[in-house]
Amino acid sequence: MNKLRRKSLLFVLGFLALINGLYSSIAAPNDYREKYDEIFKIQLILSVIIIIMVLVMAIVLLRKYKSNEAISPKEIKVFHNNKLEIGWTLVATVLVLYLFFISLPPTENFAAANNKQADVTISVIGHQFYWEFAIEGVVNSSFTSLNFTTGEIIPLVLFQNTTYLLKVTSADVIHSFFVPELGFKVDAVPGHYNYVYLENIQKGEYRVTCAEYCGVNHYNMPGLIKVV
Amino acid sequence: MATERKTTSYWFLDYKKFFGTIDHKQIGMLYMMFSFVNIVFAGLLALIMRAELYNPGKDFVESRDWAGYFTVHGTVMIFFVVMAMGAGLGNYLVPKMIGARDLYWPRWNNIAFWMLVPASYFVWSSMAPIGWTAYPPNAIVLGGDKVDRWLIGLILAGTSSVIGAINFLLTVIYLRRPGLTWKKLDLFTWSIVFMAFIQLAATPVITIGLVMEFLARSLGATYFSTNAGSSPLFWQHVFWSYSHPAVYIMILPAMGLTSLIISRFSQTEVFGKVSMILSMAAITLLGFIVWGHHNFTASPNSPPGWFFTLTTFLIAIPSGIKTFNWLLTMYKGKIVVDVPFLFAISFVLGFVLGGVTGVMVNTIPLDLVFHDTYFVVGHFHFIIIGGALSAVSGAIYFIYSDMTGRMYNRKLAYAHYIFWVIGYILTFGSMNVLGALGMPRRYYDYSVLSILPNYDMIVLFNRIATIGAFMQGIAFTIFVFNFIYSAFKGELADEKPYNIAIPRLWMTDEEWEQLENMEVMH
Repeated sequence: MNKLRRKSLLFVLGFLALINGLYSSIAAPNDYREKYDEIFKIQLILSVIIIIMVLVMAIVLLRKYKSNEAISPKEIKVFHNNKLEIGWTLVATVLVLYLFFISLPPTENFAAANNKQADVTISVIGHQFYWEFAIEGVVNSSFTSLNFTTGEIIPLVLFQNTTYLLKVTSADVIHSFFVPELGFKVDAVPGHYNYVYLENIQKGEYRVTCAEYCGVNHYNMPGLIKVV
Repeated sequence: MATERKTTSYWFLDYKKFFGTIDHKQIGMLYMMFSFVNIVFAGLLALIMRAELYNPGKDFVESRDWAGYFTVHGTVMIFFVVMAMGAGLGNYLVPKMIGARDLYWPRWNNIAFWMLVPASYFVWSSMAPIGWTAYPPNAIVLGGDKVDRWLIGLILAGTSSVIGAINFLLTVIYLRRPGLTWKKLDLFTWSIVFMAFIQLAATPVITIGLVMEFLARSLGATYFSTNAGSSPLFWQHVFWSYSHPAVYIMILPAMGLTSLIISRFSQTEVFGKVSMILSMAAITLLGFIVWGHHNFTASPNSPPGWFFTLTTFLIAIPSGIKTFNWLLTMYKGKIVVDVPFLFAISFVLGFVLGGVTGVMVNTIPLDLVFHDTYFVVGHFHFIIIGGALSAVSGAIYFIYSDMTGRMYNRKLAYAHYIFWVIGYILTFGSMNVLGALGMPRRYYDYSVLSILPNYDMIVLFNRIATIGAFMQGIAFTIFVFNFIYSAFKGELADEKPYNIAIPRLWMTDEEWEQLENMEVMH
């Protein structure tokens, strides 16, 4: 039994170490993704601990109190333990508030995009079923993410040391501008502008997809962001 | 005890009884049968979708039909499977648990059930390509009558659910056996009270919303249109201020069933009963002010985002309390490990897995990636399939002998359990991974994601999800077979294997005797 316990403990620690290792080995290409990785790691480790705790409790209690005898209703005992209950309520509250407060600064940072000054403002317009980009203040700068004759994807090219403000909206139905590797998505809602502030993105190519159901070709609305 | 029934009665073969019954047990069974029929077909839709997603690229489904499949799958599973199961089990159990002869309005009870049948016809025949969220402008600009059918179906279902809710509330308020105070009321009945409260308070909101969308489609009303100074975002607030509480309509009865089953099979009283009731009350009330967590990415620059994160995080506290109370209910008990008990444990597992992923998806920096990806799909299926449907399956095994007078086949039930648990962990666990890898939901073909760095993993986990889904399909086939076969050929349950009437736990011996006499009388 002791050996089994030690083995399971090692297994759990190994699993946690694996999560830790997995997440520290990949460098995040920008701020949003970095915060995502950081918070996700914390929550994943906590979740694994909670799930294991629940499973262990269930198995231990089941093994210990398994029985097949029926007892008369009079023998039924009522257990409650106020100290224990108040205790775990407090622990849960502290834990939840901790998770809330660590998520607050990146939340505020992302939300405040519309108050930030950027070098270049790019309007991103969702269409069924392609993206249109245009640099604000530059005449005839508009282009689409898809070359309609060849079917090629035309990338949106950004410079690493320039700051950008994406101004996202839609021309028809709701779409969602989703760049998984950059750690954000923002809905393109007709008649409404959503802002995303981008700076200091590592050089590379990042895939854009649509994440809000927008019609028959929802799955096929690709775009590409190229940072040079 | 009410063990006088020695043979099975096939009351439903008599068409007058079938359509006209006002008996709460029979209406409860009708709800369950209705729910079974719907789950079989909506489950088939899910299997078709998973089979299509096994390989990247187009296999055998047309992209045009795809959206109809996921819309009908979602709508039917929510309104005609899980909610109908809640209503059915409530119908069957609540009068027994509170010592009433029937619900307060037996005739309205019948009408509420039969309203669901045309409702489900309209939804099934619509195959509307809008998703169960029906976001405008997409849901408004689509031509044809598909969306209109879907809207009419849901308006009917909503009306039925309001009637049912009023009926449950009146029953519990006025028909409790004398001496059964609110404090003594068992946790399942409490869960039905909270469920009915949410239905009554929230359903009118969605009904108004659906009517507005209907008017926008048929008469060109501009409630959700930008030109009229409104916004499509308005619908999202109307929709989610119902549909988030609706999640609790689905999960609360399952929580009550889990409390019932775990305490009955551990032969103990539920640990910390008062905190269980308070937790359900907290979940019910907080449930009304968390809807904004569905809209983080829809308007990320507007301030109240953090408010909804906070309220949603707070729901994690009562949920955690309930989880540990369920576990500690086993403490110092005499646990009879039988099929219903195992399903209740499976509920706890599904609820915890769905709960921790729920906390993740609620954290805005994570939601910016997870929103509208398979992560969300994995999260709520853990809660609804792993959680609610596990508890419901357990409850059906629990009341099976009482319903049919026969016993189910235990070996088949264990096979159902094993396929079910492994199946849902594989499917929805993989879906969570897929979401974290960046696969959006409602994708018909994921080969367009091939430039993503982890494309191999996306293909792999889609395959695992499909295998898991088919395991759940096998599990459910076993369940349905066992259910029907045992109803005709199962062993007769002369001695009731489970005592499902009023819990004796809080009664004196005289009270119990009184009650037994009462049951014989009726």
